[in-house]
Amino acid sequence: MLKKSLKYVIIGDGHAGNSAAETLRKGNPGSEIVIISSKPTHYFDHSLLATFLLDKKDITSLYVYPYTWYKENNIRLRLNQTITKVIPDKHELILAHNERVYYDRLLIASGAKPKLPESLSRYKNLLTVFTDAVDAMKLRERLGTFKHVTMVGGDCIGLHLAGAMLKLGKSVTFVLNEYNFWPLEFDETVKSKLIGCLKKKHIEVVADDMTTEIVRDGTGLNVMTKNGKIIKTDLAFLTSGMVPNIDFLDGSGIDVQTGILVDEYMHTSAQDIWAAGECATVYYPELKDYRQTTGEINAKALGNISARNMLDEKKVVSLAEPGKITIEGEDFITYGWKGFSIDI
Amino acid sequence: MTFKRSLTIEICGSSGDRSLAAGEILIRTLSDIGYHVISFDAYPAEIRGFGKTVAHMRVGREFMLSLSSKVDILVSLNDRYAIEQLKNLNDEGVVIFDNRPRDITYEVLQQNEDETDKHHLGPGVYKDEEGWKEITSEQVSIAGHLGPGMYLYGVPLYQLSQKTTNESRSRNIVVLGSVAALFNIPKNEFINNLTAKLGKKDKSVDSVVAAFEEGYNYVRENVVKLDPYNFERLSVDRKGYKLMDGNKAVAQGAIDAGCKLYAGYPITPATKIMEVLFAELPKRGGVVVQTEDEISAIGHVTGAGFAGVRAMTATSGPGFCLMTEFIGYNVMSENPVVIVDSQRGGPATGLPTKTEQSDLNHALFGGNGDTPRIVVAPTSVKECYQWTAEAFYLAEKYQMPVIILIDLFLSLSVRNVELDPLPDYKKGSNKVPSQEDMKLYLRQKMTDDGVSPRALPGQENGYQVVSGLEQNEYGTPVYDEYSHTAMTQKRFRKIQTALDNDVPLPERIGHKGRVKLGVISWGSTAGAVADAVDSVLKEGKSVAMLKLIVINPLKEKEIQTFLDDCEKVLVPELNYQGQFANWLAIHFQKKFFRYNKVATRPITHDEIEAEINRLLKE
Repeated sequence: MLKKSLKYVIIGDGHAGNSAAETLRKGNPGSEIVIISSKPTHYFDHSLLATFLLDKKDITSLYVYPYTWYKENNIRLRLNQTITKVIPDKHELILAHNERVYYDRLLIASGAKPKLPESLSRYKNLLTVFTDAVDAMKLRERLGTFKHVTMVGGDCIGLHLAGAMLKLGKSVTFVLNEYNFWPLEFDETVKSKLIGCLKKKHIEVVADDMTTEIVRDGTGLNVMTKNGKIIKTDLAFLTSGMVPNIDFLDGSGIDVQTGILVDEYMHTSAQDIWAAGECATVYYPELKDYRQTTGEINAKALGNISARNMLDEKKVVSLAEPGKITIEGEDFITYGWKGFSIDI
Repeated sequence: MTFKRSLTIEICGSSGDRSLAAGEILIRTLSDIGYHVISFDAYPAEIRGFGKTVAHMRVGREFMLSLSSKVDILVSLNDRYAIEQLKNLNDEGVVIFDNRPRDITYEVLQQNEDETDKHHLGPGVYKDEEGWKEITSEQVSIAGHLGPGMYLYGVPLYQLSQKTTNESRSRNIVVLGSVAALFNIPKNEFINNLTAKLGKKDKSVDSVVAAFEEGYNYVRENVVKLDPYNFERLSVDRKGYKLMDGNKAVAQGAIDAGCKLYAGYPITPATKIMEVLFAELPKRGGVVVQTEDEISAIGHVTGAGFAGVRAMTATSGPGFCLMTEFIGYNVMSENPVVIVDSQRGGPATGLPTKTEQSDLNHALFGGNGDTPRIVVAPTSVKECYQWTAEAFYLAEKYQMPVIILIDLFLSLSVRNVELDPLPDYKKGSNKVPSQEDMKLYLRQKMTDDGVSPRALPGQENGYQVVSGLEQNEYGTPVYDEYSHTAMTQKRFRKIQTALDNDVPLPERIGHKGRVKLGVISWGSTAGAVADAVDSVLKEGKSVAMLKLIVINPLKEKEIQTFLDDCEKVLVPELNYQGQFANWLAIHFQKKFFRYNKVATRPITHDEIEAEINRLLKE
């Protein structure tokens, strides 16, 4: 029999975390549910980020739920608070401001952060990221200051962002590198189809090449490739996909590979701790293997399954339906994203 | 400023956190850049190193007279105390807190050590109704207590304070820097006020300014601003405005009215009146005496009044009680005295640092016998100035005690005000005896207006006997029916004369003619009523307000007209009994709807607004 007074803590205010919170609230109405997120903004819709640049809407227009939803569902939202450590033995989290938060059951749904290829790590400060609502807000303030942008790599948000840039009258260059992370089923056919679609949109495509160096050039940048091309640009976006955001688990004893290893019940190696979403590397019985999942569709499904298991159900994870994005009317299958398109 | 009508800010800390000093600098800065401000600080009664202290201020583009119940921006210098303030924070309010504190339970542990028996209460332990419990950092960190629509900004106040001043006590300055950056308040004004507060020669100025800059730069570099609040500089001319509280306004009014003697005994919340006069009155040829008690204080003032010098004392409830005998004495001897009573929670020593309007009965009726006196109750800081000066005029002209009733809220509430110069005729109002009068001087001469010509000591042929005994026209003690009746009538005739000649008409605000609801208010509560009435009038509601400053004597005819116009009449006040409503009920046949609170804090405009709306719906 599930205790009514359980305290569920969820690290992360994204698709997985919110999906889990909703399921937990329905499954255990008397429980305490706390979401902790290092981001200052609320749970937002990724597919709206690029279009946010096109108008002057308030940042709350990106939010999936009004804040009153959390009030109505008695979910405590702790935004802008960073977790520095998880101590499974004590059922405790340590926050950057020295607070210790107790949990009965913990879901780690801390998502992912932009992947910075090792070869580009020296140029971190010259790359612009566009992964969340704050990035969108900051970029919107700078729209009048640049004319040309370069996408270093290509992920769903990157494609979407390129669409917004075109709409804003900016010129766009894509440096395509199949070794970078792609959310698509990426092969030669897909690649040539994608290049064709991008070119139709008047996007300059630098294919079969990779960025090796970025240097300042006056107020702009020179993006240099392995094949010797120099792209003069104003902004270089890091759009090389994401990696699990799990640095705070160092020293926790929780098993981690690329992401947090979870079994088919989304349970981690630590007692009373589950993980879901892009931070998790999930064992899928259908595959008899682990897979790093990505995208909204997966995150929501995994958040839901994790929560049901936190409610003492025994739910086994299964592969979610793939999503798709469209470019120039062509559909591209993705591992788990939907709603994105370059055709803004 | 991105505002509704106004924004309310609180800086909350423990006593040693200097949150009030930070609040003072902030309010000065906001005033300097063109905003109307009104502040009211809350602090513990006991002098000790801890206890909740809150600098509370309402800031607006438009003139305001009262505080709001709801807070928009809460700055925490002590999370444990600030958590208690969260109940007042708007759903979309802002919280600034220390995100790298020394030790989150440190303050609590310190307080436990001080407050309790160490043998029974170890560090990190507290007791509630269920028994001893461990304090958890979750309980004492504000970060976990916010509502979902609130904005939380963390600044490493302790670390930055240590870095710049090598001590944690500059967290209040670091946070001011953060506030400046976060809400786009011009930096230079802040620094000017910081240096002015410390004094330019203070060795610590540089490090304090550095602490401010650290807080400012941290926010600029690290904090993502999401809330909509900003305080840009307003292009308005406020050159004629001065930032002052009610106490200072009273002191300034006294100085400008020609007060030459102040005698008083320190008491919260009136002490500052004496402090201001200590600094200023001697420069103008006056004298300030700190007496051994309040009886002595009013004795000094009585003597000075007799000598023809404008004199004043100021106190609070307990001291006012001690002065009661002298009120009667000055009524009987027809001697001018000005007494300021800054009301605080009572009875007895009561609540020294909490506001209340519960001395009205004492001001109106205190003393033995039939003791007519004039009672005035300014409703704003500006009126504190005007009516203190007016009180000297009235006391001198009508030769009787004039009691100025203010309260802790008005005494300590800082606002930016523009003071109108006093008319010259107010500066000398003694009824000087004519040559004819001096042929046979009658100190208590019967006159139509009740006021006898008053010779001053040393005036040739102006010999007089002054005592607390009943007297005849010569001032000779008498005890007969005729004299007592005639003299009592004479003393009350002066009240009627004052009413006819010097009591202004009560100010009516709002709809003229018939209204569904009228609100009659007095003292500092009138500010909240005015703001509330203004708000409901904008919604088209049928409401009017009557503001009374002179509480005795009452302009009965005008008040009656107002009452006749109102279907219902609301009387809000900060006392349990409804003392002002009772006073009105003595004079007028009308049902008064009362709104009484002894909440230890001022009534706010939104509380009154809610009550108005409730009565309109009934």
